[in-house]
This record gives sequence, structure tokens and C-alpha cells, in this order.
Amino acid sequence: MKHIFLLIIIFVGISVHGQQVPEMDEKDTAALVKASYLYNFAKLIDWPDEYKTGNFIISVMGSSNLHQELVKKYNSKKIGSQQIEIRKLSQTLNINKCHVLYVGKESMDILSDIAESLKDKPTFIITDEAGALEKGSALNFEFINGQWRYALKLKNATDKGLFIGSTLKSLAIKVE
Amino acid sequence: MRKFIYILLVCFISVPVMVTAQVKDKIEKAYALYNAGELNAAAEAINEVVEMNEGKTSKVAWHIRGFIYKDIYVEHEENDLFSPAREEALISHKNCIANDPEGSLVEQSRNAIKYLSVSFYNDAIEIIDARDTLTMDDASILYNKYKKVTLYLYPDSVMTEKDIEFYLAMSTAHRKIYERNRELGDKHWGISNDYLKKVLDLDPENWPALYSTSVAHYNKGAYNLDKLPEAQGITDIYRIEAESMRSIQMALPFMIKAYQINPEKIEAVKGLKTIYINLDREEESKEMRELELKLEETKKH
Repeated sequence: MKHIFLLIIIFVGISVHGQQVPEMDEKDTAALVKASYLYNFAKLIDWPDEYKTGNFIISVMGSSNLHQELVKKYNSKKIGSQQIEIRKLSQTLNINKCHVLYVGKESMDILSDIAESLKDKPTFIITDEAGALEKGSALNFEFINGQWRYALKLKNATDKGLFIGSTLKSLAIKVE
Repeated sequence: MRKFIYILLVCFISVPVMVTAQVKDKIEKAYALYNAGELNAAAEAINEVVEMNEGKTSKVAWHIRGFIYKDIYVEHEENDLFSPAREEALISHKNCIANDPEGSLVEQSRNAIKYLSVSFYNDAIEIIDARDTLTMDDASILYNKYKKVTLYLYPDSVMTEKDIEFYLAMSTAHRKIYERNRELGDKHWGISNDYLKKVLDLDPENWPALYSTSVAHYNKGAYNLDKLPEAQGITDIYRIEAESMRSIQMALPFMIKAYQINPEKIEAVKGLKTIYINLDREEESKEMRELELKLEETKKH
């Protein structure tokens, strides 16, 4: 009987332990990386005095994952003395005060209009679509050799009274 | 079992050409002690026999010794992974077989050896189950003992399938240890993957090993990105991202192969969808998403 019992254990043991394949951790890694970039970009830009009080507002249009990531990891942090506030925007041209605006791919068709509506406001527009710099974005993400990098169009920031730090410029893959 | 040995004893000890009277008396004494449950005394008595010149080649003496030590193991040393009594029992039964050209005791000794080999295997599995970092290496030692004994019993056995099952189990155990504490258990991530590599060396098309290797690399990369909120500036982001993306890139060929081997398996389809999207290969990710939906639909019907 003991022999039979032991043989049963052998087969149970193999089937239980041998076939346990791991589960995939389905993260949106691009959102994780971009969220970290957005926070660090904000630290390297100087806003006009009237934007240096109150909360530091980062608005996200599109990309729910990026919005969630920002809320989860950066909502309690500060830029200088300003508390970060993350806002999610629907596709709209009626954009309230914000320091940084991320416009996702889904809203590329209205990017030019968004940029036009914000031309007199010191809002730093970030995108990740080819050609976005020509439509008013100041910083565009590009996926190069398996990593997220960024290109800058200084005019789209400086014309609004933003000062771009040298570190941000020196680490860009392209500065126009 | 003791009754059974008694019958054997009556049959074989009575053959005068096999053992001298002195040896016969000692064997009988050892057996009486064994039957009375005095295992240590029985072991002492039977050891006297096998240390004698005539006793060294006595299949009966070795046979009884094997059972005495097997019972010592079962009654006193079952929790000892490296029980000396188990080893002695094994040696004794092997010596019995070696000294039994007629084969009259071979079957019983082989059965005893089988029992012992299974005990090695079960101990290895128990260690894997416990996932104690201090004893994990013992599982390999015990599995190798099991393997060696199995090959002794069946020299023509092909152990590849068993090896694969064992390596996959070891890989899973080390992965679970790593997942318990990813910072402290990092070395177990490597060990887990080493076992998967061993599987793929034996069977390059082993689906669980291909899939698990891919997920291990992908998850490692994705997990590293959780460190990004602590990044000290953009160059630090570059460094963390580079490490992570390297890991995610490494996941891709294994998942592609897993998918090619079995395109109907939804896990590989989902895996490719996730890896592609994270490598910014949107079109391929979309294709996989469509395939995933198709497979889910087929599953429903």
C-alpha cells in the first residue's frame, strides 16, 4: 500500500509543480516611462511668475494609462514648492490653466487648434506623434532603438515665456 | 514485510553450502532482533555478519540488512533528507543483488530499492514545495540520487522527460522565491532561468520553458520600470529604461517561438500583444489583439 501511495505522490508532485507557468505582468511600460519623463521635464523648465503659485497642473488628453500612472506615482510630489495636480481632459479646446499638457495620439487631429488656443498661455505641450512639433508641440517623444527619447522645438516654448533649462536641451535627440 | 523475510530466511538460511553455522546463527540472531522491533541491535548483529569473510558474500545477510536499515530509516530518519540508514539500506540491497546470481532474492531487493528511489524523489518534491532558500539545492542532490538509482534498476531508461519535469518544477520554485521579495531574491530569478535553459537544451521546443523564459524577461523589465519615480533626473531615466527595455527585447524571440509552436494557445498570443505594444510595434500588437479575440470567440463556441 505504501508503495502505491508513494507512486501516486510522484505523479501528483510532477503535474502540480512542473506545469506552473508564470503570469505576465501586463504593464503599459511606455506610460511608466513617459510619466517619469513628464515629472522630470517639469523640474527643468522655468515658468513665468504668475504660474509659480498654486498647484502645478499636469493635464493629460487621451492615454488613460499615462494619466493613471501620473496620479498613482506623482500626485503627491511637488515641483519646487508647488503641489502637483494631475488632470484628465477629454478632447476639447476649452483648456483651463495648466503647466504641462500631454496630447495623446488620439487627439493629434486637433493639436494645431489646441496649440492655437494656448498660444498666449505658458503651457508646455508634449506629444508623441511624428510631425507634432510642426503643429505646435514643444516636445515630442520618439521611440528610437527600443527607448523613448525626445525632440524639442524651443520656439514653441520660449514664445510663451517658458525658459528651457540647458540639461533638458542637451539630452534631447534633436533641438529645433 | 518481516513475515515475508522470515519465509525467505527459512528457505535460504537452511541451505548448508551457502553459509557456515556461525554466520547462520548470527543471521538468525539479527533476524530475531529485527522481528522484535529492536532495530539498532539488529543492525549491530547483522553488521557483524557482513564484516565477516563468509558474511560479505551472503545475499541473505545483505537482504536482511537492507530491510533492517530501511525500517530504521522509516521509523527514525524519515525526516532526515540525508538519512544514513536509507543509504545503508540501498547499499545492502545492491550487495544482495550482486551476490545473488541465481536471482532468488533479486525481485524483493529490487522492490525495496524502488521504494527507496521513490523516497528520494518525494523528498526532492517536498523541498521544492517548501521553497525554503536554505534547502533548495538539496532538491537537486536528492533528484540526482533518484535518477542514479532508477538508472541502476533500469539501465536503458531515458530520463529526459523526468529531467524536464524536474527542471520546470525547480524553475517554478525559484521564481516563486524571487516573486516573494524581488529585491532580495534577485539571484533566484537567475537560477529559475538557468533551469529553463536546461529544459531548452534538452528540448528546444518545450512550450512551458519558452513561454516562461519570455515572461521572466518581460516581467523583470516591467518591474524595473517601477523604480522610475525614484529616478534622479533624465540620465537616470535613460539608464533604468535601457536596462528594462533590454529585458523586454529579450522576451520577444522566446514568445515568438512559443507562438509558432502552438498558435492556438492564447497565452502566447496575449504575450506577443503585450510585448509588441511595449516595443512600440503597434501594428503587430493590433494583429495579436485581433487573434486573441478570435481565439476567445472560438473558445466560447
